[in-house]
Amino acid sequence: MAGGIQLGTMDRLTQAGFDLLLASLDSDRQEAGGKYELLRRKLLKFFECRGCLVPEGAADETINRIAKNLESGQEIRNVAAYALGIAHNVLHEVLRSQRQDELTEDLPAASAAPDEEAEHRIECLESCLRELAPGEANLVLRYYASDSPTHIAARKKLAEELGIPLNALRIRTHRIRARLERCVERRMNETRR
Amino acid sequence: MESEREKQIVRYLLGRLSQEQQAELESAFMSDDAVFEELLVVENELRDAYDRGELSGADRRDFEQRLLRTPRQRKAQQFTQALRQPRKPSTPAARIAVEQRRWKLLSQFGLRPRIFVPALSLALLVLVVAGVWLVRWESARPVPNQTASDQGVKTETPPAPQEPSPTEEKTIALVLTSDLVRGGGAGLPSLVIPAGVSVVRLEAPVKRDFPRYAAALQTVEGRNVWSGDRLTSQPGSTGKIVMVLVPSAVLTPGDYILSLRGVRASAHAETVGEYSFRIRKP
Repeated sequence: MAGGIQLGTMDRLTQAGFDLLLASLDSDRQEAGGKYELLRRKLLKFFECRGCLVPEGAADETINRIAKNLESGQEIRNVAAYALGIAHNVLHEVLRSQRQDELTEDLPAASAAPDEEAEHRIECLESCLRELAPGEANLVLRYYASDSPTHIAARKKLAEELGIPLNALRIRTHRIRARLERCVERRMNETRR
Repeated sequence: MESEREKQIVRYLLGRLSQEQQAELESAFMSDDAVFEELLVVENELRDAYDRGELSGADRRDFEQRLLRTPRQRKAQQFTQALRQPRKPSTPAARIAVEQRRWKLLSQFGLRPRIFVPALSLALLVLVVAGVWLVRWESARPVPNQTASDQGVKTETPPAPQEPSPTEEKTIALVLTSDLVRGGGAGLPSLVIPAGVSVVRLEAPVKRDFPRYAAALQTVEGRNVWSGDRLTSQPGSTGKIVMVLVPSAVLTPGDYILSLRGVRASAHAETVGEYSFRIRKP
């Protein structure tokens, strides 16, 4: 098994548990869906930054445990703080398991043809850029295009042209970049099949 | 200018916060979406800095250990690299327009593509072979101005026309040796930059070949002076070398360390050498 990590009882997320979790995030189901995705991304980041080699599995396990506790009748007032507490418990289990595994598991083999994958990624990025509004594509490309050491001055100039503070430009560019990254990943998975 | 929060986030991402500080930041980003977004922005900028070769020493090592560990993180780095690649024409219509312009230009010279393309390929091949022969013949000729005391230092000026052009850049070259190779008794390669020289060409020998290289130049005190990426290796007299062109204005007298990293297409980078040298006062 990749990572070789056993996560407690490997509870499965039931529909009832999932519904209770969404309801605890927001009374509007659509809003709750967005908050659920954000919660999962935060947990992913927590596990990545804490050295977990299987952050996706650990984040899902955390969410499963929260849902199971809700199903068992537990009342949760602050989902974010509660999730962090559960995540710490999961992390301890994961890291203990990683320490046991790291001496016995072989390193994963390098993926075949990395240059082909890089080329494929660029093609998917080109395709996703075409789907952006022209201003958005131009903004993100100009933000990242310039070479060191002039790129800082180039970004300041870009912010001045747009009439916004540099920090606002960073956030705006980051949001476009995040959409692009999700699009590229989706496109790569679709074309890989 | 980095805020205190941003500096804290950088330290968090590089694994330099205490347990208590980590817990405080994690509690903040779990409960506050704006803090989480700030974390993601800073992480992307750190990835961008790494791809540009702006991280050096402990920062680079910690980045590689903590932010290139999982497949998801490596994909994020590959995406960062892809964002900085040169762009092709953005739409099918634009690409067709480029092609049409190209063939229209050829047909103005009465050139038919089916005959022109193979003929052009052959002509280019002849030119390349002639060029390689010419370069080898030129490099075999003795350089008139080189003296025995200038070992490893070459001064080059372009062939002078009747009157020298004020806009041509004067370059001076310094051949480096890897810190691992240079013996304990050997001195640092050193250079005095003459007045009027605007570019210093550092020639760093490398043993392993990579699609591209990134270079970071620091003073021995650790101050970043210059960085560059998208460097490639080329044949030198004793093996492959990477030529790093540095503006002479940034090289004040002192000791420097050039760090060179090889970058694969997967965005994984490895240190290939560190080269110390000295700029002496005139």
